[in-house]
Amino acid sequence: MITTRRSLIAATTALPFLHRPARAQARPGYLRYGLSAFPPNLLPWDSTGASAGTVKMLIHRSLVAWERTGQLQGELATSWAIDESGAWVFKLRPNALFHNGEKVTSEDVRWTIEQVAGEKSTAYMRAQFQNVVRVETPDATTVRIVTKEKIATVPAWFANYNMFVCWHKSDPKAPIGCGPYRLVRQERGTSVEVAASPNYYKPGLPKLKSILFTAYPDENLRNAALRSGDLDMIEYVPWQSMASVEADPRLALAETQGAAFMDVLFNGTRPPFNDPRVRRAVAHAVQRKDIVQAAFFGRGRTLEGVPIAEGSPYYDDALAHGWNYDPTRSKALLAEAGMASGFSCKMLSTAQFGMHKDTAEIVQQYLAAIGIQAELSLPDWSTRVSLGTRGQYDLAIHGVSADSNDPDGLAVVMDTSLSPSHGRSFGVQAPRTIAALARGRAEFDEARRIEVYKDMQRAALEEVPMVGLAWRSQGFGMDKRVAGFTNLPGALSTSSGGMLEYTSFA
Amino acid sequence: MRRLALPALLVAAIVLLALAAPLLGLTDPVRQDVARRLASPSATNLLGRDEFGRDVLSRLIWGARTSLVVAFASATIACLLGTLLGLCAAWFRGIGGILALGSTDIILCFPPVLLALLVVTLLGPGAFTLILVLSVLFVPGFARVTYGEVLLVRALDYVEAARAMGSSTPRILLRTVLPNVAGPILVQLSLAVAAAIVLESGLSFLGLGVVPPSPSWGLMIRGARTTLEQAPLLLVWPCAALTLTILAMNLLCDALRDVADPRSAAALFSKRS
Repeated sequence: MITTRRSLIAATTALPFLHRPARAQARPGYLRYGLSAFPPNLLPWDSTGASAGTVKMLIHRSLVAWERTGQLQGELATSWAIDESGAWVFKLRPNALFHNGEKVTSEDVRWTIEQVAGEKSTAYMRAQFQNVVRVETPDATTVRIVTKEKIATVPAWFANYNMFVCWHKSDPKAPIGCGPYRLVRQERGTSVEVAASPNYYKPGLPKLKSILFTAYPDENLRNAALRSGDLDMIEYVPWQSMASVEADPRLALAETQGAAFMDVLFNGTRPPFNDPRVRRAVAHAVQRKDIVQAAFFGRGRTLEGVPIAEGSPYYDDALAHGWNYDPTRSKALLAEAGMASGFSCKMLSTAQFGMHKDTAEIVQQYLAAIGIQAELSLPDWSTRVSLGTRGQYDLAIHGVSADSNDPDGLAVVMDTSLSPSHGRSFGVQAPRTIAALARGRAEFDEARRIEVYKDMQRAALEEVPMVGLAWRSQGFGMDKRVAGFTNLPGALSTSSGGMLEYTSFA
Repeated sequence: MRRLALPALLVAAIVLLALAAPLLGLTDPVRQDVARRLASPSATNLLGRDEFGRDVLSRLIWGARTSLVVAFASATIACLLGTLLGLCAAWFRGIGGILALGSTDIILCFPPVLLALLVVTLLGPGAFTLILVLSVLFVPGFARVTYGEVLLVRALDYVEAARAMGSSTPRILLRTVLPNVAGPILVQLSLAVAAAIVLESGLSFLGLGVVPPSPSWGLMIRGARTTLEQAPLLLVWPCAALTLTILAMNLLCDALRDVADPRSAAALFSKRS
């Protein structure tokens, strides 16, 4: 047949009307997973984002991990307790092996902690582990960790996806892990493949033979790849697409409410935001439900206080609405601070992530209503990070997730005495909040901890180290045949990658 | 001349609409009404509302202002600079001419979008940066075109005559040479304006152009992309506006070339008849 121009045009125009869903054939025991970013590296202790964390959680294991309900469960450790002198004692399981066949012993745990807390370490958990005075190894399966003062949250440190136990004789630049999968190959910028490790200590696990992680940084493409069947599962389903994933009879959505939140950060080293009254004026100025609608398509909740989720024992309904929308009060606070006529300032956010930009635009509009003219600065993400870390802004819009569901997990956002970071306010004075956070960390009695953290919330509402704006939900989209995966509750959602060891095809 | 009428009319209409934006009684293009986001077209909002509940028609017209201001400003600056460079380089020749033209060649080495990205990353996004970047990008084009034309013209008899009459160099350049090379430069100008509109929208789409909440077509396309499934029409309006404007500019440029270039077939034909 001769192809004429006319037939070619006819064929091309007919293409969109051809509806025969073609899907790639799935291989048994082989999962294709869409990452939102290619892992910059897979070093076990450096923080390189949640996508890298998902892969790391499969290659490596730590003493403990988060289980489905958000509680700690033993991994390399079978039990842990604090002894009378205030040191934490972990008992290790005897049957764990590294990928090279070596046994996991207390010596490996000690070496790991030394690497993380070491002088030249770039580990994410370095600050925490510098509280460790010494690590004792009375026998091969017992580790005793002595800290400067009694700390309640030590076991949770080991559940972070930047804290894994590695073989003590391995090269610190390429440490050997003991997770359910081992790295098979990596194509820089494109994909990472892992295959089940024969040495894994849990019988019958992992369920899948191998997992291919492919990076799809564009959220719409990632979603399209899931819907066309090119992928079996994706992380970070874009909020605007959640409803269509739910409606698709072939797909399922695992959504966790309140996985992360948006907030306003301040530069407290110069006027006007060195005055807590001005910061409070900002807190009362924003109508939060607009952010939930416009930035998250309704897939979120308003946040008018310190980000402690409803349902947590530390939640207090009155305190949770301490920064309610009240523009009259904002204006009064500004007048009290001597700024009744308003002022101009610079608001930092990023154009790279739609939710950051959209939130910033709404906050900008509400600030204008009380007389604060905020000029938006929307650089790319890495510039945003460096400007934020150096404090080159007046206000900043940020999105973050706490380290854990325990209120101590909020220290990363609220403890402004920690080293400067793009995710924390810059130089804001909040001494009572910081003191309360420290008291909570050293307190073991549950009832007293609740009181301490309520004090912390009261202090934060007045000192305003940050302003909560909106909770956002986080969703994993998957083929209905993918079984055994759970999106972990609350702030742990980004740690859900560990659940892939239980995942299989039904 | 008749060929020029339709495209000129189209461009004039677009420019007039943009200029008259404040007089049209449009709703404030940055006022949000999140409760009515993504509302479909109605009598009060002829083209509906966007993802923040802002009036799309108003943003479209105000967006034209931003796009056109950036495009015309950058093209004009580039035209003045480039023409001056090309004129001097071709007239005086020598080492200065080579250097002047060579420096513009360096700019031509970089892909335009890449160079724009680099400058915007260094200086931060905004309309001012955009004008700066785009004018730098378009200088070589003007310099090259002028250079070539002046080289042809400078040896012609009437230039020689002007020189023999004792006219000063600036006078010869501005009164004798420039009018005779103006045609191609004018065509280049209309090309540059069209290219600037595309680049401006592209950079705004990438989040590196106009800073929100100021309306811009590129920003509107970027915003509509996320709500493609809920409100596909939001993507149509800015794209249609962009296409129409660029089409009009290119038609105008085509017609201008035919009219202004003495060597083109259309010009020859009209002279003969």
